[in-house]
Amino acid sequence: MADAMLELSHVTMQFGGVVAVDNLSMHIDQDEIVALIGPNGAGKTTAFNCITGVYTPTSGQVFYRGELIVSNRPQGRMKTLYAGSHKDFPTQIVVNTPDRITKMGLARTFQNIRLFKTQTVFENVLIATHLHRTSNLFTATMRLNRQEERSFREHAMSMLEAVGLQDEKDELAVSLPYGKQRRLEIARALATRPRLLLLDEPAAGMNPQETDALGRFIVDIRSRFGLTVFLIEHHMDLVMDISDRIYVIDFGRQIAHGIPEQIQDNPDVITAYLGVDEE
Amino acid sequence: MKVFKIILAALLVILALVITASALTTRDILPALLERMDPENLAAHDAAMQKAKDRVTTALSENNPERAQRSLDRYINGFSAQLTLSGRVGYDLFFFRNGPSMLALALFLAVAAAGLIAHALDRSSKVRKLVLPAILITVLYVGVYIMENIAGANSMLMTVLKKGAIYALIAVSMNLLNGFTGLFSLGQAGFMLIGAYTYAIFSIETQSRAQVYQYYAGGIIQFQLPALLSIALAGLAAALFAFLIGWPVLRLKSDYLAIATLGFAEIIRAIFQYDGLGPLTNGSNLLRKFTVFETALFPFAVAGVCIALIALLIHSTYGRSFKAIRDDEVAAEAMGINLYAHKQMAFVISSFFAGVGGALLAMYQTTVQAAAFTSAMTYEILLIVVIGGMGSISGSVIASFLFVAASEWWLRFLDNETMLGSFRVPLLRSGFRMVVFSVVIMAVVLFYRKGIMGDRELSLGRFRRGLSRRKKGGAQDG
Amino acid sequence: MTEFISANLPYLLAGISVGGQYALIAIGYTMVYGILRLINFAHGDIFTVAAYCMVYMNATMPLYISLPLTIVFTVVLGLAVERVAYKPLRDAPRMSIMISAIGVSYLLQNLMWYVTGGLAQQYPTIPWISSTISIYTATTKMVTLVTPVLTLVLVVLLVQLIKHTKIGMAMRAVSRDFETSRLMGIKINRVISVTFAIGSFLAAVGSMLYFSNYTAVTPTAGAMPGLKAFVAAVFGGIGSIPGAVIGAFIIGIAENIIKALGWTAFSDAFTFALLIVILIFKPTGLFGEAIHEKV
Repeated sequence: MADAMLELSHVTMQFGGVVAVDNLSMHIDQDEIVALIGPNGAGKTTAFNCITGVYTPTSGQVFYRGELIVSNRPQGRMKTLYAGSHKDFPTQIVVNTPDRITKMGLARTFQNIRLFKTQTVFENVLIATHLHRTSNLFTATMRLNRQEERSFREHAMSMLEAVGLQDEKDELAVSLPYGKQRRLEIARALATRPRLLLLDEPAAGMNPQETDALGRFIVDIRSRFGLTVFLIEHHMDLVMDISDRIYVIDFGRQIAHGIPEQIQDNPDVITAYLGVDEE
Repeated sequence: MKVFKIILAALLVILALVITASALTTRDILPALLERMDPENLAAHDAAMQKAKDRVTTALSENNPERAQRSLDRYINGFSAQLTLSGRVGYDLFFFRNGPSMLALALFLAVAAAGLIAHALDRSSKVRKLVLPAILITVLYVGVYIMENIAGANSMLMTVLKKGAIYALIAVSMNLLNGFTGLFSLGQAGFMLIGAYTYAIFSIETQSRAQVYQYYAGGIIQFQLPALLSIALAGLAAALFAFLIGWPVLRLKSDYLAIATLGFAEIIRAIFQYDGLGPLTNGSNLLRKFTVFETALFPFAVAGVCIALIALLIHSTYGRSFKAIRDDEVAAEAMGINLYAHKQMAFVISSFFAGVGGALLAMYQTTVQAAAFTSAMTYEILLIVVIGGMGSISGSVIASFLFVAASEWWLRFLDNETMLGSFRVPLLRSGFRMVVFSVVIMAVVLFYRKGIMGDRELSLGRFRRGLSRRKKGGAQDG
Repeated sequence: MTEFISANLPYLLAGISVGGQYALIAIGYTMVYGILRLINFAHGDIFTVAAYCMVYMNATMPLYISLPLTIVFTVVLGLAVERVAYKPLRDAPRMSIMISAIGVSYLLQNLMWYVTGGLAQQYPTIPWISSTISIYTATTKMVTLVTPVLTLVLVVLLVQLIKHTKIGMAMRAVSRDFETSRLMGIKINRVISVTFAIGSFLAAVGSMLYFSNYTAVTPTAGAMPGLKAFVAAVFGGIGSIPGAVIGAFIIGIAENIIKALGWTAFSDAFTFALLIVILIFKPTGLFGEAIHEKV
């Protein structure tokens, strides 16, 4: 059986006394679109951050295409403070900075849009081509890398065309309306040539039509660029529409997992989102 | 329109050629000129006149062109009534006396012609894109050369230009780090110090070393390296220190980076004043008797090349990564940019050029002493960068010249006690200049935070658009 | 044994004394940073201005007027600097306000140079504090003993103020979370003004003690003490008042121990080396707390 694209194994993230993610285990297979849902503050973005190297989890492991990219066990103060439910700790410690993980093929967008504020739309995407450079400081400065530079620009342009922002390429990124800024972030992440794309609330702030278009777009880029997609979302129609599988977490723990039809009627999920009936 | 430009360009080229030919052919013409100025040999009958004429010929035979020029001027001024100075003689005489300036003018005309031709070409042509900046740069250098000849190498104008060029390089190097990469570093004075000392140590005349290092038995280095090599070493030394310091310091948050680099600059200053290192650094005594430059074109050339390199870097893929780090570190890292490696690059490169700037500063001041490289020097450079606009190379360059001109020259009158009739103008005395200056800086910092250029660069296109926009009375862009 | 003590006692006493003076300055830095996240580069210069103020006022007025007047003037200066140079930039990027602080420092130094002509002035002798006493085998000025005592008293008073008064609670809230405090109706301007006033007051007292010992006053006399006090604040954990005080005493004493060992040239550099070390191993200082950035 082929390695899963992404596998989390008992990932726990604890800040001081607060356990933000508790014993999260999940896997994503190639070409799937998997969604991570849960109420606000459930720990979804924290999970993303653990996968992409922004945080190092307090304990647990992350595998990308079979390769161990993150592994940790409680150290220092955490040894005494640890409050996660899983106590069988890995022995290895593997830490990778976000840039290394992106180079391996995982790209992400952010919950609060993080565009490069002083740069144009085109420049924002162009910056994301840098990681695949073969030139060095000297050759780049002396303009000995003309071919590479041209291919970077072509690639960036085609990413913009993929999201439909080619006409605004010279506008300042922050001057775009909110929906287009989100599309730009996706274009930027795509420019890093990922195999696995993590989208953090891509439909936030979009109206139903835009959300619909986004759903179709995600399915389209999956086949066009051979991607696997892992997304955090609150727009349930989008989630139910395009996801192959869904994980539900609340208070950092997984409370349900399955195909959309199973999740929709799951009582624990309903309770988590809507609360328990008073009567 | 096109035809007109090309015809005009052709005329300019012809004029330039004529001027060049005249300037070149009259170079060794003085003996013949003397004869032609006095065709009837009136000097033979006038003792004073003969004496003046002889002075010129003696200076010539002694191979002393400056004295020859001066004697010639005195000869002409004293005996213009007797001499034939019209027609061909006058023409040749003019070109003899103003040869260098005329050559410069010819160069300028040729460049202007080239510009006109480029203008007549297709808009998007690559030649055109390069020619316009090339014209401006050539004009700048020619201008400096001409001004030096006219105003004199030690005049206030040249002082300002020399110091301005050096500060421009240092300001741009600081802007690379602070304005383009967003690393708020206050260690510039330390790297300038390393560069200045490295340069001085390696370029002191070997025969003067015993004298300079008199308290340290002549010092341990007993050779002298050529100036350009020493400058390169100065940059490398500063870069090496930056590489070592970067390891602990670049992981820190912006405020802490500022004080850590400030701290390192102070430590470096203490080290270079340390008696124990005297055989190398001369301890707390100053270093002197090293190679200095004579013409303003030298600092201009060195600074120009360095600034050009920095500009090339900024516009490359690495420069874009620096800007990404400045705008949003987290996002930049998520896009595959290794924060530490790129910050290290920016830090080391910026320090290299700060070191080169320090070497140039040493050459300009002719003496080097560690005590002068205080944090106040870093603050001045920082203020220049802010005034010019963080993130604008042309802004830093312009602001440097303005800063040096204002503090050394234009505002000098504020330091002098002035009388209006019998009424003594209040406030005007020594030190007032710097107070006014500081107030102006505060005004810029508070009200014109973006500085002169903001984060944009000087470009002809924007200049022209700005002019036409003002004519139409339309909205200003931010 | 007695030889060891008599040789080193002067240094130890000097260390405690200057440590206390640094502490008074350091508190100003740490309080302002805690609230505004600003390194007030001008603080060291306010310290020097207070000294000049004393010099000029004492020349024309009796001590019992010039002393309180100096304190008042320094506090007013501190408030003025905040109002003119920092308040307008409160919503600007952090770098801008730091640059403004540097600009103010530059301006104050040039002003002092202009007004005084750059020659060193002699600090007036404050009676009793400047009188010499001998402890054990060392002779020193009274100020050496007064300083640590006075410093501790003032610090205790300050800590009480912060813990038990309304304005103190407001100060704590603002240093925790600026935006939320604003939204909760805390009068931010008042809190900031009080912070600067306290900082400037302590700087004025510190300058009186410091310059009673090192009597030569020049425009740049406050630069080094200011920088060292700042390092002390960072060392102790910027934002923490007890931390700043402890850091200052450690620096003052260590500095003088180095002088006692004969490495006078490096006594200044030591402070910065200490800064680097603490920034590498514990950037939040001895008592500081780390801030997490939300991604």
